[in-house]
Amino acid sequence: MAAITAILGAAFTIAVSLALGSLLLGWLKLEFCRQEGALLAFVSGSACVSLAVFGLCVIHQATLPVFLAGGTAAIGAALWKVRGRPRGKPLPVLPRAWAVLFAVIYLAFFACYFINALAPEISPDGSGYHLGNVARDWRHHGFEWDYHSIYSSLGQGMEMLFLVAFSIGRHPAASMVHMAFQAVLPLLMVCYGRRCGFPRVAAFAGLLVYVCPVAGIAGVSAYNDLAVATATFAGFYLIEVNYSQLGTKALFLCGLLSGYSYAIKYTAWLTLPFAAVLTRGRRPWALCLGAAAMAGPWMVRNWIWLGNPAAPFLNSWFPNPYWSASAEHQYLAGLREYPKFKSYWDFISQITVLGGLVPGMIGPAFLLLPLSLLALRHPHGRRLLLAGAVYAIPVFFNTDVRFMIPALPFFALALGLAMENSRGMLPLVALFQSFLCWPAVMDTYCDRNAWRVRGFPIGAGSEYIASHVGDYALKDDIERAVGPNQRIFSFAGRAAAYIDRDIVVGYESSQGIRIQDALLKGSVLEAKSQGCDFLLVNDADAIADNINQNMKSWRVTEVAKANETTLYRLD
Amino acid sequence: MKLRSTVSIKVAMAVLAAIFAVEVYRAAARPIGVGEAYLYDRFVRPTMRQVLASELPNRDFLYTLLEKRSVGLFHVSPFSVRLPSLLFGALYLFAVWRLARRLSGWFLAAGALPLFGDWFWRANGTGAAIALLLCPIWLASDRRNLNLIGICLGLSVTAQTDFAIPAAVIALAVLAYWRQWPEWIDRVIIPALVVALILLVLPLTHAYAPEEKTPEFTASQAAHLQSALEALRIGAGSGPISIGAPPAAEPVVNFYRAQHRAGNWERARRDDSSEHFDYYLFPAGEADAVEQRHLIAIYRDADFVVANRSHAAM
Repeated sequence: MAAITAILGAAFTIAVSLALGSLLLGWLKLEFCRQEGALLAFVSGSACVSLAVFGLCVIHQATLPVFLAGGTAAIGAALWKVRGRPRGKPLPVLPRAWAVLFAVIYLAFFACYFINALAPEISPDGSGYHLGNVARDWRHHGFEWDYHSIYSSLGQGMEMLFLVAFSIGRHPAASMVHMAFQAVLPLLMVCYGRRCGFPRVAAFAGLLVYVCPVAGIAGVSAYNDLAVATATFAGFYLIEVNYSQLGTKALFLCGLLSGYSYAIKYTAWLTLPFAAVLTRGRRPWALCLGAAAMAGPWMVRNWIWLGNPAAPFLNSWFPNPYWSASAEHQYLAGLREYPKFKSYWDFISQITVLGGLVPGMIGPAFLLLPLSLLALRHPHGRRLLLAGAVYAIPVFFNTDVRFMIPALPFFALALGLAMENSRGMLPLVALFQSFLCWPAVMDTYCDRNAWRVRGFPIGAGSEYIASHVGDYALKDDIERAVGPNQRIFSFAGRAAAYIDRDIVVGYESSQGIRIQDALLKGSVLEAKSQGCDFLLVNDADAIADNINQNMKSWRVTEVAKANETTLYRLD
Repeated sequence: MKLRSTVSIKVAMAVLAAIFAVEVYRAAARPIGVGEAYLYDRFVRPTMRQVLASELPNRDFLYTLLEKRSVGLFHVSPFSVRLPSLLFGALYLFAVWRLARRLSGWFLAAGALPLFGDWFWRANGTGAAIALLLCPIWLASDRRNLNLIGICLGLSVTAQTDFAIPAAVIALAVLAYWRQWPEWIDRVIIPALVVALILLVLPLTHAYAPEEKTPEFTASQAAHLQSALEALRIGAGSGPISIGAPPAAEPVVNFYRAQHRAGNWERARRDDSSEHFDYYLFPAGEADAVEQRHLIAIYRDADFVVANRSHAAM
């Protein structure tokens, strides 16, 4: 039953996105070929859904009846509008052998990803803040203005889509919406190649990206990396295929996708200036207008709510009581810090093949990436390499391999262009990457702890969550002991998606830092005065032994303990 | 230019075939060498997962893949582990023959020289790498073969990673011959790199352990070691036993164990004096250890001593 509701939730969200996208493209009177039209409609429609849900969250009307009514109306309107509309021209065909190769590999991985997305969410950030934000928004039917955390102040463009799916199918439905973006990206790449005259290259690149291990696991989790990669690629696509006749409406749509990318993930802010560069400054107001429509609401929300439009960053420019510049500096420094590698080769092999010291890997075929420089011979190759370089910039500020995902489609296409004239090499490399990235094969060679898809968790239920998410064991105790308006403090991040209470995490807000400092001084009273009613303490935390041995003097009572984590009540 | 004298060609080929027949005989008759046994024991016998987990650098990756196939088909024996080398020897001869037909009979003579080395009957990747390096020279005359040249160069490096520089030199020679930069990149360099990457990516990204140096035995040492192991097999009977061996002999003992399917033998381990074994293999120079450890010698020759623990100690 859970699987059916998850599929229904995701299908409804995707259908509404397609419907709104179709209406938007019709309204903008932009003509696309048959295959690309549906893909671009989904991506641009998801931006519209995200914006609409944002509005509902502001007015606290994010409820299932509203979603169902609005969504059904959108689908109905779209069906009415497309009735009798002539179908677009078909794209130039993909060679038959390539079509078969692409279809076989794509469908095999799609099945694998589908089963994994359908399983309960267990990813660290997905079960932590991505769906934590969604669950909180769902509890309050909108934004919870009294809760402050760096993660709740980030743009939640993707979480708005998750919220619609979550309202019907809970956690897996959200993952499946993200998986839809993952499935669309290679198809969009193939359309791009077919449009630009290198279909084999595009099919090769699409496969390289689709089977890429970090894109695989991020795509089946409730993250946003594949959504941002798809939105940025769609923006690039629009500019490239309309380059000779970029009208105001196409530029507006491109700006809209740029703004949407920013709303999904701040690291995609580069999309707008890059689009301006690619369009050589043609009608920048149209681009900016589109971007403002999507990114503006989030900036305004943060400015009004937190006094910082770029919250949780730029706190030195916009000082506010919710997070300090020094805490931000410390947090960003932590993100930038790579583990110690034995050599440069170790670093490269970790990112591409092993994935133990860095979270995840991009796949062995990307070791050929230096060859992509040969694509400089090709006009499309030059632009692809430039785009890849631009979207790879965030990698220097965050060591997570998934931050490379938005750059991978461009680099993979450039690599394909570089190898286009080498007979037999494109299918060979595509097969090689697909074989080595299949979950059972990855077990042979990659690091045991590498973040990746690990198999086929068919029919996984709450035991599956409990075995992967340690905090899940305390869910019932927490929800029994902690009142809906009470708050829990934790030094470390928690699986907020599964715990129906607000958790203040030490490093995530100024309030958390104040409570943390008070507890480290041993002052429970001060912690309580900061709004903390319960504590979740890991055995590894600094105060764990002290508090456990001197509960009376700390004036706390142990409520529950599981998986080396203890819940205390502040008396 | 084709050779004019068909008689001389026939004579030369007969000589080459005779040399090759000798190679086949050596492959079948010579006892297994330390390097060959090491390659088998560390990279062919274990599963791919175990090999990668061991983090040992494997310089003969392509060869070990082929050896795995050969051993799977013909079971473990000195001949089966050397069979891929012999096949590459045949390829080498074929390439020499084709080149000699085009260039000169002298090339035939010069090309035969490597056959006098141990490269084409020893179970390691050197012979394969040499043969695969010669193929591009043979194929270079026809532009349609550029892709194949690239693939051969890539395979040569995967057969023996030490051949990366010779392969690069030959690639540059092909460029100098054809003087077509774009074609050279697309049809030689990219195929070579892709083939090398596909085969070497896993071994190279997992090679963090220091390389183990194994000094080769002389022919007489190798023969004596086989005799010592025969004596050990007879002495051990069918009961389960553990064996301690010197580092150089340990892979050979394990190869022997696999060859004779001695299931009652535990895998031989290196004798570091701290561990107790049922049987010990000592170099003759360390024969004093037999008395020091209160062992009973059951075999002794100029190079090795086999001893077991006295029943009281056992």
